[in-house]
Amino acid sequence: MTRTTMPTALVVEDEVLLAIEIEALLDEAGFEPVGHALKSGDAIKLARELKPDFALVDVHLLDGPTGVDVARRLALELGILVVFMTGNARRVPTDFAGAYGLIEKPYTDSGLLAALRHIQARLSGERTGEPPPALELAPRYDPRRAKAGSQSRHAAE
Amino acid sequence: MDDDHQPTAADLSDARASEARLTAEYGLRDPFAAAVRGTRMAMIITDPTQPDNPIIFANRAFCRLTGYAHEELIGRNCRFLQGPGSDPAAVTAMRENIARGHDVTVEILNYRKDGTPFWNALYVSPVHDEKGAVRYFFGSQIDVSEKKETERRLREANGFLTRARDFLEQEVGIRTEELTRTLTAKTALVHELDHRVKNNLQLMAALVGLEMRKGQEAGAGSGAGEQRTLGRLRERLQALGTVHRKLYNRDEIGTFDAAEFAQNLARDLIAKTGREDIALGFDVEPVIVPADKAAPIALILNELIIDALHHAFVDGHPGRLKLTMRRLNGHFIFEVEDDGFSEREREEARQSSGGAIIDLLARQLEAEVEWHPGNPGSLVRVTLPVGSSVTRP
Repeated sequence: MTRTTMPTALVVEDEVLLAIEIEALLDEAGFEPVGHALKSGDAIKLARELKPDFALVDVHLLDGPTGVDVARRLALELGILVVFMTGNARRVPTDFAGAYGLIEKPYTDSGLLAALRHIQARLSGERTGEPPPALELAPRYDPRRAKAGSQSRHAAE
Repeated sequence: MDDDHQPTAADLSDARASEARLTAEYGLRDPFAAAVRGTRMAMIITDPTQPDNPIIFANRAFCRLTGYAHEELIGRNCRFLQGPGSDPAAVTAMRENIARGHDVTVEILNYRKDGTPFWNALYVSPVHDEKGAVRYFFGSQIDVSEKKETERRLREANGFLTRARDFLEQEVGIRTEELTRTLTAKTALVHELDHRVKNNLQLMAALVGLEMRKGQEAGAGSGAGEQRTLGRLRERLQALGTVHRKLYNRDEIGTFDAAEFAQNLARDLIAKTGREDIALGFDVEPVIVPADKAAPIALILNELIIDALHHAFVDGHPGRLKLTMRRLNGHFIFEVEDDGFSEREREEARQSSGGAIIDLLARQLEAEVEWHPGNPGSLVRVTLPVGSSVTRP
């Protein structure tokens, strides 16, 4: 990926009306939406074929609560930056199955856009500040937790 | 010594001689002897040097306790107090201890002369002479029938309480299990509802979003057009509302009768137009679909029926609308047939946001939508798999 190319995005979501809306918002945030899958098998197949830079994954898909497994395979086997988008946050394991973060449904346009811009900046290698409120980062990516760990140093200054 | 030894006349005379000797040794003025004779505790002395270890002394308390006269006791072995209820193991243990010259402490069921039983707390202890040989056995007896009865009642009460406790524990276990199950089910239902509410709000926002994008493509619309768009939106949201009313209204939560929904919707919508010249026909059977398919199916049905009503009979000409719904080989087949649609109107309907919703949701449901234009009139058939559908937990 170069800076002149937009990062590509795959949407894994069982609600088609939402998927087309998310694709429109991805476009607005500077992504190129390249595909949409409604169930786990298609998601993995499309990810292999299209090799997207980024995937938004719902926990509940047409074939059941298979989104966590999809996220794990996309993130760990294919090296895709994955973010969950779900109304079922308690289904996301504590290690986030290798995902970068989580956007809770129902989302707002502005919240989702802010989250997508943050992710876009990260993929483009730009400096990212604190994540927007709509985006909850996985523990190992969360700078706030890292900051909490170095608080004693700040106190000494 | 097991056989019931009957003392001979000689034995009896020996026993009486021993008693006489004892009385001579410990005369009437001996305070210890007087105490033994007069105490309330039953006491006897036996002589193991004579055959069958006979009683050679019994005090008044012993006579009172057993009901035997003094003369009846002297010369006999104590075992005549035993009877059918006496524990053979206790008897054996007692006999063996006495044979070894040991102390005996035992509670044993004995019988009075009149045959009434009593619990005897028996203590037997050897009395040695100067050379250490066993000279006499001293025995004391206490009637512990009341204590035994109390013990028996306690055991009985204890047994009852134990059974009661076991029963209650079992009941508590069953109830706890039931409550846990109910709580688990309720929690699952709350999570399910929470998830559904979030999804539906998101879906509603998406429905509005779809209209907005259509509006942007078409450019600024007229006031009347905007009113119509808002009306269509409102009908879609109401269709979603009806799905939820039906989903959680019936005994069997989480299923949805698409046929019932379509019939009611068609009746409501025609009533709303105020037109009595549209004949509504049904050929339907119940089509129960899983909860997670209810909303998209309802939205498709909503669009098809509204399309027919808005486009087919638009210029006020009368007509008929027929709904057919049936299940076939794990598929749900839904047909809307009208005699009013012109081909141009049909094409307009397909290009509208309603047509887009039908196409998008059909993809989600893996359904096939066929448009069969007639002249006039048309038939729309939706075929979707429901038999092998995955139901959300």
